[in-house]
Amino acid sequence: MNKRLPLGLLAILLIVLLAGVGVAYGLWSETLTIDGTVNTGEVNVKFGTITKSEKVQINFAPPVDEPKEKAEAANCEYTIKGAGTDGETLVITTTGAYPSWHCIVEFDVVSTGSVPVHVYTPQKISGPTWKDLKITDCKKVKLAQGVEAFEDNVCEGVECPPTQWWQLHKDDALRCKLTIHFTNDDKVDENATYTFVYKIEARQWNEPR
Amino acid sequence: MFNRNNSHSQWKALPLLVLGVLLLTGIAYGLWSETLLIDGTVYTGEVYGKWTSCICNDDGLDPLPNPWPYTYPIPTRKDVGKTTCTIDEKDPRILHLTIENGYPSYWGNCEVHFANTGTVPVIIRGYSVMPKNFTLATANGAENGEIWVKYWDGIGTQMEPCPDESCEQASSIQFHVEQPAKENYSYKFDVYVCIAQWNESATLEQCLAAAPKD
Repeated sequence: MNKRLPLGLLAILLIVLLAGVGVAYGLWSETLTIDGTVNTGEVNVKFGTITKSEKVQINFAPPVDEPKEKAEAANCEYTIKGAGTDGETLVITTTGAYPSWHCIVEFDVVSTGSVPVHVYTPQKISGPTWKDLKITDCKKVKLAQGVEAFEDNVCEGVECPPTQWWQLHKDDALRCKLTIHFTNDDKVDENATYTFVYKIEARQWNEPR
Repeated sequence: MFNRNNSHSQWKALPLLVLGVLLLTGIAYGLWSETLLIDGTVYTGEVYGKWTSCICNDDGLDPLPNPWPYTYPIPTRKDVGKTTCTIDEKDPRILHLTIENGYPSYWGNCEVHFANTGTVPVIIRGYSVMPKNFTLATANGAENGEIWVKYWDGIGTQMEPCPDESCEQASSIQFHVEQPAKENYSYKFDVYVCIAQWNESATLEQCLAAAPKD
């Protein structure tokens, strides 16, 4: 015996059942919504104030300012390449360098991002092994106060340990001194070209190396 | 124990494993950081000097010292000896001084100029006369050597690189053939004038030792 319900009736029955369920759950209810927006911060550092000076040792005495009449013999220039990008580069070029002549470049690494950073001691990743090609005197400077306030001067006159870092908040800076100098003991050739690269790493403050 | 099939499937899974590790590593090192670079280039300068001119006073008749330093009368000048000097065509740091048909008491004086054609200011550290095959007389007229050679210049003078007006120096080289000189003989000598960078004191010996030998 075949007592199947007609298909049309079955469809109507299903619709009625679903409507009934809908009514049952739709009554007296309320929805709360959490609408979230995450605006991320930024880790950003750049080169700030840069100054350079040229000095010379005369008969191995302490360096003095280069005499005017000797100023054209050797020169030191700098420029910034890729400003505002990761890998912003301070390009320093010296010409006519000779033993006991010094180029000293003082530079600021400024934190301009919203996330505090740890800036680590600049690391030489390539270049000659001259005893006096070095970055020294790194110290933190608070620039936002209108006047420069120095602190954490832990490397006066010497290279800082590679693991040393300084925590910079926005507008804080790390000021360091790069010295480019070679002596006769460094066996530097005349009319030659030497290149070097220093890397300065800034990482978000809460995740150390 | 792995059977051959299991071992195969493990090898197939290895690249996935490596990718997974790299991905994790990437995440670990990808955390918010920024790098600044200092890119330095040092072009070194050069200490270099060269002779620029040379003029000798033997214009035909043999020259005589003036004032006359001897007690006997001034002789009549004759055209006997000859002095020439030339700057080496290949290496202008070398100046050739040639005396032909010299004879005892033949005397000459050459004015020589040299310039700082390098890029570094220099100081004249000194000069050295090096006889190659004879004994150098200690003074004009001394008979303790075959030839007397003397170089005069401003030892200690600073010379800026050209074209500064101080870049060129005039000096004088004098010689005198002494009585012990042999006939038909060729006497050879070198005169070294040593210049060194202006800012580091150096003796003549240190300067000569440091100078290129080529």
